Amino acid sequence: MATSRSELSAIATARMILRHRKILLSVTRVELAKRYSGSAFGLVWVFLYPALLLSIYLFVYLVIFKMRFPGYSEMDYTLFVFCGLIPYMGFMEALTAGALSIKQNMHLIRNVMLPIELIPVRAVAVGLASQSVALIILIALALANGSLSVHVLWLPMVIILQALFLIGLVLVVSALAVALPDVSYFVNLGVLLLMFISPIGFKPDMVPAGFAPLIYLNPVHYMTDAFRSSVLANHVIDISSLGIYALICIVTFALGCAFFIRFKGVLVDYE
Amino acid sequence: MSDLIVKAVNLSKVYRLYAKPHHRFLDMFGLLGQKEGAYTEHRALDRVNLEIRKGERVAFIGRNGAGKSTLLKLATKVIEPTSGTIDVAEGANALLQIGAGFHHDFTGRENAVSYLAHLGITGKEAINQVEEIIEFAELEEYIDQPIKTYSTGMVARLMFAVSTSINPKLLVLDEILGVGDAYFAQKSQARLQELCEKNETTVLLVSHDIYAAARLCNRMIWIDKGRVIIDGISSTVMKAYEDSIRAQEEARLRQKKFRYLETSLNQTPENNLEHVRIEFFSKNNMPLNGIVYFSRITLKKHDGTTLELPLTSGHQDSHAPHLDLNDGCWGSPTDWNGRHSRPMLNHGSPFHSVSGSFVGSKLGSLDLLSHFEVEYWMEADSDLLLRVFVNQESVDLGPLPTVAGAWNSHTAKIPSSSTLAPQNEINLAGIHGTGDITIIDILTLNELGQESFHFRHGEAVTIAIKFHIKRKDLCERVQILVAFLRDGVQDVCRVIDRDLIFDHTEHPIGTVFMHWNRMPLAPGSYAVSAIIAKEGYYDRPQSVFYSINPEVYSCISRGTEIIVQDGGAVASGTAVVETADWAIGDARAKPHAPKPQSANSGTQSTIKIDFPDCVSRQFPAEFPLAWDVTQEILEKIKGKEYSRLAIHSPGLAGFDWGTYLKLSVIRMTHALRALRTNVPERGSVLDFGSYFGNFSLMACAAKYEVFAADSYTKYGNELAPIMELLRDRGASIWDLPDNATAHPTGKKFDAVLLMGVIEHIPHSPRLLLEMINGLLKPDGVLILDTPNLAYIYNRQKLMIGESVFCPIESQFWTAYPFEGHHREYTAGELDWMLKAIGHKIVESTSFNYSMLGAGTLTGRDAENYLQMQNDPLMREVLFTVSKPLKEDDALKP
Repeated sequence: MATSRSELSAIATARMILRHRKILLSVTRVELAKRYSGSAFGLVWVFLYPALLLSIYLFVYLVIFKMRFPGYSEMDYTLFVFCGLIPYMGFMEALTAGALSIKQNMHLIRNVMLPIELIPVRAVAVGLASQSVALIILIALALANGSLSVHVLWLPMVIILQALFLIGLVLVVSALAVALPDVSYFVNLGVLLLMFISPIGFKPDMVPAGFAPLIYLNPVHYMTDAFRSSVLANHVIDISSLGIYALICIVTFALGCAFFIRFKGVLVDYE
Repeated sequence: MSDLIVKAVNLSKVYRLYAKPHHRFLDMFGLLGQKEGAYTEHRALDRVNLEIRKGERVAFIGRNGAGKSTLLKLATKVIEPTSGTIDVAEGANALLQIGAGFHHDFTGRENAVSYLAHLGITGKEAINQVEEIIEFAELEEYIDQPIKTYSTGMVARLMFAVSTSINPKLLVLDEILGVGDAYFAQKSQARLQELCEKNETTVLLVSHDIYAAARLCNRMIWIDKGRVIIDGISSTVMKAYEDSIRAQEEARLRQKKFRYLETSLNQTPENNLEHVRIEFFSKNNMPLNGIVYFSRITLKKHDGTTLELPLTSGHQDSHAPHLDLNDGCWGSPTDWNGRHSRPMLNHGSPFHSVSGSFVGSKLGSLDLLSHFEVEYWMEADSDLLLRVFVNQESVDLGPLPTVAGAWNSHTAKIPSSSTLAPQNEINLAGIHGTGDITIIDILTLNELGQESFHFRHGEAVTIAIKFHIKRKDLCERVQILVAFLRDGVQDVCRVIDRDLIFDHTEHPIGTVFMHWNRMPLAPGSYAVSAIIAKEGYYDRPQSVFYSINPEVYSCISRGTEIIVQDGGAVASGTAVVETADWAIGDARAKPHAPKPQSANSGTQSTIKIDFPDCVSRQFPAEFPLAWDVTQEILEKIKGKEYSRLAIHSPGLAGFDWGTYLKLSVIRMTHALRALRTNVPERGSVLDFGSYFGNFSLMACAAKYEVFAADSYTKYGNELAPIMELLRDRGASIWDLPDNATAHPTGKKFDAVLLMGVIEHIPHSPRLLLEMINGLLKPDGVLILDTPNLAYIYNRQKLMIGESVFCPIESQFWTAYPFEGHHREYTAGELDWMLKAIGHKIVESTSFNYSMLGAGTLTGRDAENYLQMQNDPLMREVLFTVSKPLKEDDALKP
């Protein structure tokens, strides 16, 4: 019974997102414009920001930490790190902005400008937009390095699954943050912690055996693995890992929708 | 659903207000349990039922926190009801709050585009829309600047323009009326109106400015404490809402009294005294018909103890804290019909109530109290109700039985708290004021003095305000205000009087008339309110709302309604069309040069006519005779019916013969002076058309040989007493046959009086005049008067396209022969006719007649009076004395 209801709410939410895709597209564009409005470079920042951010990480990993895997060239390592870092940046941005999205955009809901479900979705879309720019840089680098996998054709599928995963998460945390603002601080701290314990700059097999569950229970691991599988030619494809990724994403989305549908009625009351 | 847009059934919304933030979080997951004190419930809406149809424009009014905005949020599905249902038909909804969704760093244009994007409007459509928005908001110059550089008003203008550029089926507005300056507010209102009319948009709005809301909406719903208090057309709801201000003030005073008692009673902790308040209040706050005397008011408790209200001690609040002497109608203690008592006056306070507090121990619950006993004496039938307040709870105890003119005793049982029912008072009487002077009625009268509710623009109208002065020592120059509210909503015209003196000894009951010669109101429907207030009330700024202002003696708000039609081009698009004193001057004249004025049209606005003294001064010798005779006739005809006279002359139906005869004194005096000048003593006078015989009797009294001629048989017995009187005074009666040509005896007369006759012979005045010629001695005179066709009021009627004849409605249905058809003449025509029958005119004059009965002339009447003084050709009655030409006369040049 519970599953059928969550399925229903998931499908309903998915349909709603599809129905509003045009509005979603335009409001996402507006949000991006809003973010950089008043700045000298304007929308150039959409490209500039991820490029500079990646450069900083690169500098830290390669120059300061001097990290390297055996058999990996500098560029190979760079691509490996970016493949984890870029989806994580999308994840981080969507989650931190998403947690506050409903609370901060209550006026849009009150004025019936946007259905309440679309506000967390918009936050995810904005996060994925900057991620997409970074991914283009990544693909270009991989192509130049000659290590681009043919599986890159699967990348859109991976991103869609990632979007479902993020929407599911953000629906939950954004709703919780309305009732209790403290939730957003936990989210920020959690995301920061997760960045260090997730296999972004290191390989999962580099983790001591005692800490293995930290990897296998970490959904970010499956996410980065999926991105690496579809972009990097030298990455070993683990079908079961990809299956788990798809499962996690779909289940998270379904649960998030179910949770949100259950509580959205009271959200405006709490504000 | 048909054309229903919104249907709410038993709609309730309860908000929980949490003591701590984490309680809210826990409660979201149902983890809070029954923890005491974790939250309080606020019932924002309580079982509301509502149906709103397509195209309706509904305003929700009420105080802050009444539940209006909650209802709008429910209607837009932003929030969900706690219980009950609300169905809203499909269609775009927009709940607009100024301040939604604008980004400070965006330019005006970007914000507009972004707003539209949220509503799914993009691309070319959005670009077109934005151009229209910019144009409407009048922000062309600034539109590409970030809105953080805008003024607040500019932002508001842009927001309004953007918000209303969409065309939803249901538009929901929260407090966005009155955005920007007056010019823009007006413009935005027109835009909303257009939106409603063009797209049949249904509008729901919340506003604190009920007057602004009423201009836009045709339906109003007043919400208080989550309930619909009243739902109806705007004017009715406004009336109730305005009245609630008094109820609020009463509640405030009551609270003040409670606090005073609480603190003063329990200054030492061991006292522990409590109090019970009893109130006697007039139904709908109407001033009582008469005074009510209370000799004893007691409270019985279930434990058998009795408390008595000390009614007759103390003259001031400070001496009698148990009575509210300041805020109510208590009078001073007095002995009344054998008992020491305190009266409740029928005037003196805007609150028509009296109250008192019982003080004692153990009074703090209804369950402890049994009943009240009241002994009272009512001067007149009055709707007086009882209410008790215990511990901030109030219970209505029903009416005080009406037994006028005798001491009566009433027992009012106090129910236990379990039987409490919520009280909802809606007072639509619209009656306010202290009642020192009470307005009993407002009548709107037409030109004929009949009550009417339909007027044409430009037509004469009289507002009659019937009043009753209740305060016995009142004698002052009160101010009377009559206000006209378009559709019962918008106050478009006020007329004020500052001159009339209200004196109880002169006229305790009376009527004030406000007369307009020209209805100045534009076509539309208007509610009429009248206020009588203390001298100088409207000349001082008033900080207290009129319904609770002790200087307002009486007010009937929206007491009657009139409809004005047919304003023509001049009245379209305006509220009031007035005339004024105009002058054309030389542009080169000095700015302070006196205004050019015609000799008499000066600044005098009121003219007093002291009839009949003015006639007596003008005709000292003639007046006494004429006046005495008139009094005699009035005595004879008093109380008699003369309807038969109207069969062939409908204008006479219901005619006021008394006034006609009295005013005719002016005609009689003119005639008598002409007789005395032109007729030898004891000469023979034929009064042709003698009718009520006033001229004949006067001639008798002046010792002439009088012959009174009229078709008396035709009038039946109606005028028999007159004939008797005439015979008694020595007049001979000539009962005129239809075809008379000469006196049966062949008699000739020294004078023929032809008073008000010639105009009744519309087709052949020649025949009449030739016959008269045959009746005159060679030296005899014809004395004649007739209405002046060129009378100033006739001219004015023609100027505005009205007839000067008997109303066609009455002429049309009259029996044949029709005698009410005056063929009136101008002075020139009369002159011509007399010459045509070979007369020379000895004397020719004109005078005022019906105006003499007016008493005080104001406005147009006063102006007309002055004009008539100037120009005799405009006066009402033409008067001539003429005699046949002799041969030698003809020879003179």
